[in-house]
Amino acid sequence: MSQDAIDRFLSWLQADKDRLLLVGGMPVDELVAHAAAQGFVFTVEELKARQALVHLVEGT
Amino acid sequence: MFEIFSSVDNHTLLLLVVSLGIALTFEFVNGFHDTANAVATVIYTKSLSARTAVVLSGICNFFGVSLGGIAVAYAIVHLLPVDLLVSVNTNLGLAMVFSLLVSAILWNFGTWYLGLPASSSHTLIGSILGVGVANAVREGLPAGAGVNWHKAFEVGLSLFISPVIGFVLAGGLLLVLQRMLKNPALHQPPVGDAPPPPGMRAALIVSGLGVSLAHGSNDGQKGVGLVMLILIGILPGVYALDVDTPAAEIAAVRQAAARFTDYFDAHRLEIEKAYRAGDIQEMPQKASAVSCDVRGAVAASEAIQQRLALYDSIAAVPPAERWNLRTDILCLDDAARIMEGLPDGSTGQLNIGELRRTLRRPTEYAPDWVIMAVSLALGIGTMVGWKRIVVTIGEKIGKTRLSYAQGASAQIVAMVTIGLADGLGLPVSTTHVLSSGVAGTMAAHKSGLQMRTLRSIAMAWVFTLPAAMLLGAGLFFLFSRLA
Repeated sequence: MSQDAIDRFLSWLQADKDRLLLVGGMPVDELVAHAAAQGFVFTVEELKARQALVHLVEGT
Repeated sequence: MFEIFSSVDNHTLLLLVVSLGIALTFEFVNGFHDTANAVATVIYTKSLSARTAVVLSGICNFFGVSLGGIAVAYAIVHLLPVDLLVSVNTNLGLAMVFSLLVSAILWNFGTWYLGLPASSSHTLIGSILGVGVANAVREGLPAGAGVNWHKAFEVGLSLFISPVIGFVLAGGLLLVLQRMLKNPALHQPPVGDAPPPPGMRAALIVSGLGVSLAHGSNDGQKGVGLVMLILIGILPGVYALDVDTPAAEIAAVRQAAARFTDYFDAHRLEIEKAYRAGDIQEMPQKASAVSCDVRGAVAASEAIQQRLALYDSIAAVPPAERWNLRTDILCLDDAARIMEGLPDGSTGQLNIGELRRTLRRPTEYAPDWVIMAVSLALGIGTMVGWKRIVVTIGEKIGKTRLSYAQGASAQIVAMVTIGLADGLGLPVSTTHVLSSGVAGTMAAHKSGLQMRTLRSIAMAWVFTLPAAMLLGAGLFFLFSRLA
């Protein structure tokens, strides 16, 4: 359920500005470990794929 | 190759190594700039693991460079007017090459670092146009005389139309797939960790690798064009002409030159009339060593025939004479191009386009080691690019979704569109073609028009193109003063 886990993690972050501030600038592996500690399980590659999709859609 | 390099002096060798290093870095940056486009869909849909997808994409980019031919490479090179191309073995020519390389790489890397939308094609073409215009201004000519506008229009049209084709065809293909494929899961974003159904998975993998192959063939050729400009400029005696041109092709070049001699001789009156009417521009006095003129076409075509009559291969032509032979070929080709464009169409029964292609053959080539070096730079860049993806947590990442059918439609259309552009010798922005394809599928899926994609494409035209032109022109003024 990795992509769903990413969605839920993002919703959880966006619900509280302090949570968002905490992860700002965090390296990807730390971010994934931080998410796992909160119960949102996904891999570095899955998160990168989601970012790559943003680049693809945006044409950047 | 190593024998050639060992025979040059240290200063030339240093210049060569630095220039080639910059050109290959441009290609490397291009590779990692575009990694996300090539592999995002297959990794996101779990059709392939990230490691496998990135390695396969790198390999496909590597082989794509060899498969693409060299038409796109020389479409880029010929954006510069022939007068500048035949001066490329001078200090001015070197200033031109360095300005192109440095401005293109600065802009490409800078926009990647800052996460700004950019297109390698618009960057490179903007740099070339900037250098061409700056050279004209420096020579005291009208700014417009510094660019081969005929070629620039062709390239501009291809860059402009290809995303439109991507958008319309990918949207259309998605609508067809929606009618043909009844499994609703194929039209939803991936759920869970399972890969897509086998047929769709194969389509996603094949089209994803096809996009990488097409990317290598189109974007790789831009690097090949740059490297050839460097080699011709720094080692003209070795690389001005293809020493491996077969004897039959040399004979064909002689025949083409002979036919042009007859043609230009027979059209002397029309040529003078065209000069008087202003259909052919008088060449002002120039500071550069060489200038091509339609009135000099007969002399150029006779010189080509005389030189080729003396030698049975290009390798037999003394290195000191190869540059003059190349200059005569390019000047004659340019004169024929001008005649083709005359309003009264006085080309008679002659197939000028075909004769021009035959004539240019010894000048439009790339040695195997150049293709190999560019392939490696692009392939390695693609593989490194995945490692360098920086995750930015925010609104965008949370809202972006893609169904299997949308991914496959966009990739299939991008693969075919870029492949066709290769066949026609036209450079396209692979990023724009693929992104507009995705946007087309989103519009067809009624998920709304992707304003972000439109904004990125518009930014390349209104921001990247002028910025790269200004950077190229500024650096050219700087380097030509130092030269």
